[in-house]
Amino acid sequence: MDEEKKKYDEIINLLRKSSPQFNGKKEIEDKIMHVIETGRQKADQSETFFDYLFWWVNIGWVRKSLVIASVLIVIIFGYQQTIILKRLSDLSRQPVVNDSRMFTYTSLTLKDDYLLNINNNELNPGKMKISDRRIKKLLKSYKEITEKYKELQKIIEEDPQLKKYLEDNLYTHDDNKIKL
Amino acid sequence: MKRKSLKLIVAMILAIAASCDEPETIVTDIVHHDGSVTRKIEMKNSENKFKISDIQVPFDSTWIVRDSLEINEKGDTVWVKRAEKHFLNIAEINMAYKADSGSNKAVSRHAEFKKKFKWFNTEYRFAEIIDKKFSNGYPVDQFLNDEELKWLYSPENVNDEKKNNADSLKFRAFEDSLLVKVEKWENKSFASEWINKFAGLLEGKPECTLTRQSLKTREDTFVKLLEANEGKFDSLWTAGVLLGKIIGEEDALKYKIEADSAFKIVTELYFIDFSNYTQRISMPGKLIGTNGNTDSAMMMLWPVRSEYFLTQPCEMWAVSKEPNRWAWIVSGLFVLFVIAGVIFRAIKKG
Repeated sequence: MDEEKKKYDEIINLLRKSSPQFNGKKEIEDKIMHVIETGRQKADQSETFFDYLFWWVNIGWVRKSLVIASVLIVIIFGYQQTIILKRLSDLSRQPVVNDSRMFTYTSLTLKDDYLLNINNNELNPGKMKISDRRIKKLLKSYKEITEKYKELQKIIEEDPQLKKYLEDNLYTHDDNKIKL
Repeated sequence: MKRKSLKLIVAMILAIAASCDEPETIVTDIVHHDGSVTRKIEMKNSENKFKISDIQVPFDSTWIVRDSLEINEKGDTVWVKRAEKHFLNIAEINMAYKADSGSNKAVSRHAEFKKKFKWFNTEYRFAEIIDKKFSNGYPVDQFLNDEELKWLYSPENVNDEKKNNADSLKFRAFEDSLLVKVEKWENKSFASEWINKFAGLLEGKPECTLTRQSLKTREDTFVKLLEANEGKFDSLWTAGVLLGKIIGEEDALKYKIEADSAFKIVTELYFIDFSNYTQRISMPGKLIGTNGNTDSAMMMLWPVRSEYFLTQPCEMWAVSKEPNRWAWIVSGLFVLFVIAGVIFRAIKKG
C-alpha cells in the first residue's frame, strides 16, 4: 500500500515538474484575431454608413434646423390643404347652374386632343373619364356626320330647286319649319 | 332724361332684341397652364343674320369661323356661328380689348392671369374685368342683401325658372321689391355722380359758394325729383325747372351751363351702348374658387350686364390649383429622412 502510494506521488511530482508542450500557438492566435476582426469590420461597415448618412445628428444646430424645417413643411402642407378644403367646401355649397345653353359647346376642329376636354357632357381640361374606345367611336361618328353634312350641302348647292325649297321652309318665320 | 326702371329697360331690351333678332352670345375663355387662352365665341340666332358689329368681344379676321345649323332643346332650328382664336398670353387679349371696335367698345375691359408657385401646389388665377362707369356711385351691396345680390347676379334663365315653378308668386314679389331697390341704387348713384361732376366743373370759379359738400347735402332732393318725375325728367331738366329746385334759382341761372355739361356726361355714362352676353371660363387643374356660377363640370358662368359695372368694376374671377407631385415626394422623403436621423441618434445614445 505504501509502495503504491509512493509510486503515485512520484508520478504526480513528475507530472507537476513537466510543463505542457503548446505547439501552433501563433496559428491559434491568428485564428482568434481573424474572427474578432471580421466581426468588428462588419459592425464598423454598418456603423460607418449610418454615421455618414446621419452625420448631422451629432451637430446640434444642424439637427435642430432640419427638425424645424421638417415641422414647417408639415405645417405648411396642413395649412395649404386646410385652405383648399375650405374653399372647395365653399364652392360645393354654391348652387349648381344647369344651363341648357352650355350643351351646344363644340370645337371648330374636333381632334383627339380636344376630346380630353370632354367628360360626359362636361368640360374640364386635363381630365378624362371616358375610355379611348368610346372617344374613337365618337370621333368616327363625328367624321361620318361631317362628311354626310358636306355631301348634303353640296347636293343642295347643286340643285337650285331643292335649295329654294329648303330656304323657303327653313329660313322663314313660319312655325311649320322643317326639322332636320 | 327719361328715367326708366330696370324692369322697363330689361323689357325694352328684350323687345328690341326680339324685333331685331339679336343673337344670343356666349364667350368662353379656356385658360391654359402657360397663360395662353383659347377664346371661343358662340352666337345663336333663329336667322342666319350675324353682323361683326354685334359681337360683344374684340373680333377680327384672324379668328377661325364656322357656321352650322342646329336643333335646339325645343326642337327648333337655330343658326350657330362659332369662332375661335388662340391668344398666346393675356397681353394679346388686352391689346385686342384696347383696339375693340365691336358692340361693346364703349366699355374698358381687361383680363388678368396670375400663376403662383406654392410648393405643394401651383395656383392659377384668371379674371375678366370691366371697369366701372361711375367713379362716385354707391356700391350695390349697400342697397341689396345677400339673397337679392345673388338674384341680381344669377343668369336670367335661372331666375325665370324660379319664377315659373313652385313658389312663383313669392319669387315674383321678391323680384319686384328687388327692382325697386335697384332703381333706388341707380338713382342715388346717378345723383352722386352728377354732384361730383358738377362740383368738379365749378372748382376754381370766383365767388362760387357751391362746394362738393354743400351739393352733397342736396343729393336726396335730386333723387326725390328723379323719382317723382319719372319719364319727364329729361324735358323738365332742359326747361331748367329742376335745377333751381336742387341748387336754388339764383345759382341755377348762374351755373346752368356747367350743370347741363355734368348732366350730359353722366347721362352718357349711364346710357352706355352695351350688348349683354354670357361669359364662361374654364381653368386648368381643379377649381377652388370663383365669384361666378358653376355648372356640374365646374365650368364658370357669368351673365354680363351693364348694371354690373355701373358703380363698381365687374370682376369675373376664378382660381384653380394643380398639385406638384414632385414637391410632395421631395417633402415626404425629407421629413422621413429627418425622422430617421433623430431615431438613429436616440438608438445610438440609448
